[in-house]
Amino acid sequence: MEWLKVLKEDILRFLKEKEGNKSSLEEIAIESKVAKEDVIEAVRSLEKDNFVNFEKQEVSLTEDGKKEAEGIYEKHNLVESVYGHQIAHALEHYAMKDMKKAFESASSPKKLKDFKEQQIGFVVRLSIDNPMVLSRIIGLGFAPGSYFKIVKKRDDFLVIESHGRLVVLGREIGDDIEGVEAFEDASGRTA
Amino acid sequence: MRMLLVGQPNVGKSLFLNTLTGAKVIVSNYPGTTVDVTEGRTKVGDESWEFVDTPGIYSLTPSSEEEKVTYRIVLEGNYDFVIHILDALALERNLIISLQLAELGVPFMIAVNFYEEALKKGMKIDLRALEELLGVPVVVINPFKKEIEKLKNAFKSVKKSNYSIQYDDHIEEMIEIIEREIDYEGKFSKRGIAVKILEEGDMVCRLLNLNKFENLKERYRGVHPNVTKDIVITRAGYAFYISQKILTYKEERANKLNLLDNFILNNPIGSAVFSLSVLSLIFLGLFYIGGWFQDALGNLFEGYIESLSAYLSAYHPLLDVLVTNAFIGLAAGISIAVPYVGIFYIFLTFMEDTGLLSRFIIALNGLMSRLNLPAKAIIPLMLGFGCSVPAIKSTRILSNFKDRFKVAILYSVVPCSSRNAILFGVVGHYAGIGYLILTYFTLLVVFIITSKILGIVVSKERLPLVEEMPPYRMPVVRNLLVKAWVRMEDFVKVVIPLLVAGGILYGMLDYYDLTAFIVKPFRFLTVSWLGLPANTVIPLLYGFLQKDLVIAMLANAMGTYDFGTVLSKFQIFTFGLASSAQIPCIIAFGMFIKEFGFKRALIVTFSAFIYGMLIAGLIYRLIALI
Ligand SMILES: Nc1nc2c(ncn2[C@@H]2O[C@H](COP(=O)(O)OP(=O)(O)O)[C@@H](O)[C@H]2O)c(=O)[nH]1
Ligand SMILES: [Mg+2]
Repeated sequence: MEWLKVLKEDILRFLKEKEGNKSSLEEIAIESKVAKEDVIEAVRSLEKDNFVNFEKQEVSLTEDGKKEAEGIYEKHNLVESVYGHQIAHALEHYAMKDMKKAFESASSPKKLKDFKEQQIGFVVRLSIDNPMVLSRIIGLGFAPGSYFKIVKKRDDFLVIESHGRLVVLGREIGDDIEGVEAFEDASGRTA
Repeated sequence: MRMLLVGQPNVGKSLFLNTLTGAKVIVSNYPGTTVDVTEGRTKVGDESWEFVDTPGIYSLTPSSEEEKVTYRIVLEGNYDFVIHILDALALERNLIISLQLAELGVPFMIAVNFYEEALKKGMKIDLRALEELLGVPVVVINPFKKEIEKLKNAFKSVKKSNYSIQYDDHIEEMIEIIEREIDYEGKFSKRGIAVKILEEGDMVCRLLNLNKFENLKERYRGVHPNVTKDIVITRAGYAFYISQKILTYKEERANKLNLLDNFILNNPIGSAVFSLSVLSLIFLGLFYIGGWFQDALGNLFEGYIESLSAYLSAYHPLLDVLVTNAFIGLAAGISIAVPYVGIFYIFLTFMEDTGLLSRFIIALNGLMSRLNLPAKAIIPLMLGFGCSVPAIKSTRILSNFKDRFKVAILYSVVPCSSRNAILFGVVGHYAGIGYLILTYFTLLVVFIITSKILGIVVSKERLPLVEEMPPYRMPVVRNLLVKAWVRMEDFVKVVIPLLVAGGILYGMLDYYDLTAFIVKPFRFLTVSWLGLPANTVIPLLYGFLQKDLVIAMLANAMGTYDFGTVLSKFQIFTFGLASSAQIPCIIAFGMFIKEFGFKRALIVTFSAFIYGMLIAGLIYRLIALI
């Protein structure tokens, strides 16, 4: 029941955004762009998980729910800050499923050049403003969310594996790409 | 049916085209650039299939000259559909191009290459899912085989994809406004055009005659300062998203550098050893193989020319002089210029197809940046060893004008094959390999000094190194030869006729004894400054019109081909140096004008000549002291 899981996460995030205020089922249905019946099903299930209170057609977060929502909310914001609003929805539920742990455990991203040799991470932010350099970097596979592995660090350049290919980046770019460390057990795959 | 082959570099586009169309390949230089576009045709039943091989791109967001060419060809729309050749081993980044084709509303299909290899690596790719998601045919290809039926089937269901990327709300608003206001009716989707206008603006508007929407971007700058970046990143996010949906990994790969790469990349010493070995290999290859061709072909021609001359002089001496000199020009071209250029381009193409060229560029990065040049400049510089004319044009692969100008100036001390032919054919042949190495060493030192000076005078800024190391691959000989031929075709077709014309012209000067007028006034340069016989001014000056004739003219001016008997080894060395440190010829001068303007061309050519003579004279004095 993939959709139910997705919807439940959406509802938790939405309630968190309302900062403790109660929401009506209609409101949630409009925000999540699904039918009211589906919302009811998801809310019932959340109630069972002890994440929400459901009284008088209104929904609010429990203490457990607040904690759960916090995690989802942070993850969402991180993904959104990287990709923009629309794709964040899709990615956080599907593509980034197995990255959740990594996202949660990453307190803050660090610069590419601060990674150690043989460390694995994934890209979360590119602060490259020159559009030519940016699209070349992305075309080489350094899109946000992509895994990389530092293969070699030299004073003048970094050798990085990305999608099974070796890419050499001038040291100065190491300042402009930020990533978080990934853990192999969380990712299930390496770069 | 006309089809564009589009894809990232090294995905097998050219191999695919060559296999399908066999020898019927037409090569054209895309107008205004040196980037080669190849076309091939084949007949299938009563249909004619025409393929256009476009330069490899990382995305349809133009960031280099190659990408601009491909982008332009796609937007010009002179084709029925696009075949996007996709590397299964690097799905994610390849999909960006598919998404851009979908967005633009271009009918296309996806041909997946390296699928077997992907399976072997333990990847599982759900191609049916990809087909469903994008709504265009997806087939696995083997570019070594002629898979006509498979392609024919896929061609039938080629269509536009309705897969759509949703951007950030502000960007969507802007797209909507542009879509509403834009005056465009054509084969591309309005939405796709609107996204392109936001993403890059200039080229798409110029190509499709559209208004720019700079005002709109300005209006949104407050809420959305970096539209291009957001579009590019969101699209990459979608590519990532799709690849995650269709791709499963089984196996953990060992990500270690292989032995050679480790050697090249581990430390600067390895890099230096590698790049020096490559350069020495080119040098030795030219010296021995080129030398062998020069001897063999030269002897062959000499025999013919002698008997031809004996035969013609019986009729009329003028006829003899003209025809014989025309043949000497032709012989010089075929026996000297062609082998050296050919070997060079075959070597370069071999490096490119095996994957060694990128490593060479990377290994030289440190050195190049010390010379204040971008690492990529090594490609136009190496092409400069071939022929300065296309090389000057090829500086366009550098995106920065000042870098281009610097490299173009440096061609005055990067000996092109015509100058190499003089150096190898005269200095190497008659003064020995010691003097030859000394000449190149001198040129190298001058090169380093010059680029240092240019770094200060012209500019120091440069773009960061971003280079892929493609996997090593066994080159396909046929593919390699076709590519090398494409590169030297211009040279052969332009230079050889000019050599013949130059020969005739020289014959006339000689016959009417006009050369003396030139010789005298330049005695100060030849005899006093360079310590050479006065007659050598003819090849030196005339060399600007026709570099490849310098050897033949030196022979004419000195009265023999056996230069060892009339010039000392040391004089031969000075002559070689003096004739190579300059903007080589009038054709290169013309190209210089075209690329950088008349004033710059004139100043550079003139000062390079003086600079070169100054150096030759100084070295002559320096060595004379020792
Ligand atoms: N093993 C293998 N090599 C290939 C395949 N396709 C292309 N190549 C090789 O990959 C290199 C690059 O191919 P090319 O056609 O020049 O790529 P292009 O840059 O897309 O035109 C060449 O050495 C090809 O022989 C393939 O399916 N299998
Ligand atoms: Mg190609």
